[in-house]
Amino acid sequence: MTELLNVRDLVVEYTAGGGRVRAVDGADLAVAAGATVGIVGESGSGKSTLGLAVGGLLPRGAVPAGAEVTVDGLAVPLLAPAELRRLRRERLGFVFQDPVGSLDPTMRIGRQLRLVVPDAGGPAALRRHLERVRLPDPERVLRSYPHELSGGMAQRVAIAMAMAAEPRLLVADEPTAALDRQVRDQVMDMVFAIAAETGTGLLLLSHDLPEVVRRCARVAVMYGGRVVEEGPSAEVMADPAHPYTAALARSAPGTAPPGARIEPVRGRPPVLDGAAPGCSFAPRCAFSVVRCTEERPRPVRVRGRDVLCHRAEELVGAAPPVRLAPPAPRDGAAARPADAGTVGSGPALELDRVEVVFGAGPLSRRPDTRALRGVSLAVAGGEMVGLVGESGSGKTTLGAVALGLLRPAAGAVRFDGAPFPKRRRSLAGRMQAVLQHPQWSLNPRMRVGTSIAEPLAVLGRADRDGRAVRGMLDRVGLESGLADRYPHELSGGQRQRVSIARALITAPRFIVFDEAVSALDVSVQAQILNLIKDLQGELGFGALFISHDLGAVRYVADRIAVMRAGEIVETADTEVFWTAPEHEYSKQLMEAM
Amino acid sequence: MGTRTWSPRRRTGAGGAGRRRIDLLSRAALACLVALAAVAALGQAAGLGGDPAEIVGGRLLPPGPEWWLGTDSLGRSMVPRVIEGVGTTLLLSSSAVLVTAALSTLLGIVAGYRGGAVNEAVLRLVDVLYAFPSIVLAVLVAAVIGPGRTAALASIVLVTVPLMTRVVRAAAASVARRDYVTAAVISGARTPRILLRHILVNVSGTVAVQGTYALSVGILVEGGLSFLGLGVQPPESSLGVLIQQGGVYMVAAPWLLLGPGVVLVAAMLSINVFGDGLRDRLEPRESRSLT
Ligand SMILES: Nc1ncnc2c1ncn2[C@@H]1O[C@H](COP(=O)(O)OP(=O)(O)O)[C@@H](O)[C@H]1O
Ligand code: SF4
Ligand SMILES: [Mg+2]
Repeated sequence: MTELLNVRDLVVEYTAGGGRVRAVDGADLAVAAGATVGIVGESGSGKSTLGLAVGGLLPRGAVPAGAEVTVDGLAVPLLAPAELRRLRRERLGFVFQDPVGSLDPTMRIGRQLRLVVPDAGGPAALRRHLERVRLPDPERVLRSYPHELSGGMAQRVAIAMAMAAEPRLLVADEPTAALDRQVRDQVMDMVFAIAAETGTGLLLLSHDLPEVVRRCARVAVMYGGRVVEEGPSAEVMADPAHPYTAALARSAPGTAPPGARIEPVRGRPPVLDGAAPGCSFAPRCAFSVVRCTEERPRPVRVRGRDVLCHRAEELVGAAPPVRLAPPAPRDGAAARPADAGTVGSGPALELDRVEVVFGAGPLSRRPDTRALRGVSLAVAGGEMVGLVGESGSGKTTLGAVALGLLRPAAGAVRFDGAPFPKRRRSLAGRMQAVLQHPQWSLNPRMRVGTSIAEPLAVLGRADRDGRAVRGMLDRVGLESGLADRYPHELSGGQRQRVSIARALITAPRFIVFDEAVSALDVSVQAQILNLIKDLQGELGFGALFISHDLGAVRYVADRIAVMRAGEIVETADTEVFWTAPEHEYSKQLMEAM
Repeated sequence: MGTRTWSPRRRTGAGGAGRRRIDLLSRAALACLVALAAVAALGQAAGLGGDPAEIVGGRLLPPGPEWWLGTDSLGRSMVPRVIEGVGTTLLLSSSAVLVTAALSTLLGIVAGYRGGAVNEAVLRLVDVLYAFPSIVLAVLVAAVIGPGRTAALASIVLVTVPLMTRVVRAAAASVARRDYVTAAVISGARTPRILLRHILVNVSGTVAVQGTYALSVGILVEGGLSFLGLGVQPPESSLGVLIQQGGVYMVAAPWLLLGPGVVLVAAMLSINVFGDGLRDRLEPRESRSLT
């Protein structure tokens, strides 16, 4: 049978930092005409790479010329550049995560759309394309520049462009991950509706198993560059055959009972050097046997699905695998950071009636902004205080005061019992921060290892043999080989782990996490939250965990402070807050959850 | 869509493997520039075409088998004069651009990172310089320190510094707001460390791109100044000097403009094409082209 898309035993390698990363390691996949197939996997599993390979969009040399990737019977790796462009123009559509980045910022939408709409058509035709993606006021949108649109609108435009030529297959890579939660569903609904209308096949790449299962007829689960299980969505979800699928099903945030610890898939994602002879999931698998580490599993047919696991047949009918092995003990490097400071329980940080005013500038008519209005807050050593509030309420300002980046107009700040020193540099290494944007948290021109070691270098303590860096990488669940990579080769979650490693390397007494997980996928968020929680338990630093997301805050914090318009309106132990919030605003926040 | 609106380009960035090469056209432009410089340097060293100062024959002879570009009003062969002229112009403008790059980078990153009063001061300085049309600035310089090479060099620097400082400052200011810079500040890093390890390396692409544009501006300023007789002084030649002399005999001996004109156009074109290619390679975000 010739499928619309056929991928057989595909291997894709990137060259990175002198080594090779095998992002896709023998993956098989088929999509029938008009079918909806989802690929699910954690970030780094190779989904995006597979999607790019379908369109011949990978850097030259990454895909071997003989690789079997066919679209509509055409062998993608063998196409000449012009033919490839034609294939993409006529039969393939792509939608990526970042809608604004995928539009040309210098061109009005109308003009961009006209470039991709076949046989031009007048303004009416353009309008129809926008109406199809349910964009209100298409006239105005056609005249707009991308930056004038909201994320949801921009993504609708990108989808309209991808669908303009009525492609045979639409590849959508996390198309809604960058959008607000409310908009996500609408956009997803719309994509699936259009695909059904036009008979376009849909390949949805996502980290969100429940979402994919709900939307797609079939699901392919990817792990370590391979498709480990593929089958009809409902069956896979109800009765996962591969141990990884089972673990993934359980890690889905929607499935955990409220208040319970979400169970992320334990252990570290695999090293993708293509060298491991066995099953790439073996180090994390609770069912692993000797054979698993020695011999690469071949597809076995179980319950009508192809499953990549030696024990798949044996495990049939056994109680669904619910137990996962704890992460393997890590050799030697039990990495105590340089000199773990004594964990005191006195306040690590105290703010006493702190005022911060931002001048509006001499020429402005606007009044000055009172960003903090007499805020008092104490964080004990070893305590994690969560700070919630809507954006603009002053959370980041408070964090900046705590870190000494901003001097308050009035009030006092005490660090470790002593008044805040005039020169904040004398506190170097004793307080650190993990900040919001994974894409800007690391210097793109510095190797990851150098970034992690920088706080030590600043203190004049070079990490010559790299041991401290390796220890920290291990601690945050990353391979030590990552030290030689550059940030752009890492996923968002990996980068945020690196930021945490950089913050921890000086064994600080106090850390500010400012929206540290807000920009990450939901499943990665869970992993990072658990990591932060575990590390804090182990190392005993005091922390201020700032977020607009009450769910994340209550998950890690011992105590919650609620901020609104520059004031802390309520502080309570997390338990207490959870059951009986006092302030009106806190109640509203709880209800909005 | 696919290709035009989203390219795998953004998976490969600075520093790592899989660097995107600059395109063929830009490489051709670079080759053309290198060739010009090589001809100028080697030609002068090897005495290609003879002594530029020697009077070899009749005046204002048209190009022919003996004097390929003809002779000038004193009867000197144009070939060695053009070679010397290109050399002088390139050397002068590229030295000036090096000075500009150093000054602008220093001013730009300090102002962009520190902000506040330093930033204000730098912006004012730049605005003041920018307010003068370049030729007026050049004439003022020549009036103060006297016409000649030094005046040409100083003029190029004064004209290009504000252009380049602006762009570098803006780039530095945006880098300075990134989380990795904040993280370094929180770790207690001192200003010089931050400037060198975080800001400078991340604006170096911008500096390189602006440097090529400054080079073309420099060549034009040199030309204009020498044309007014305020730059390089005869008997030395430069592109500006040659064009000025050619202009005088434009009707009687138009070929005098041929050599320096062609070379000037070639140099300007290749510098700008190369600059665009470099920009696409180093700052892909800002430069997505419309075609
Ligand atoms: N340009 C690149 N250079 C080197 N390694 C890369 C590059 N892009 C992705 N990788 C690596 O390839 C692996 C798979 O990445 P990707 O396909 O983006 O996964 P996903 O879509 O599941 O997040 C990751 O380990 C990632 O670090
Ligand atoms: S092959 Fe072995 S290690 Fe891999 S998933 Fe199956 S049981 Fe687990
Ligand atoms: Mg991805």
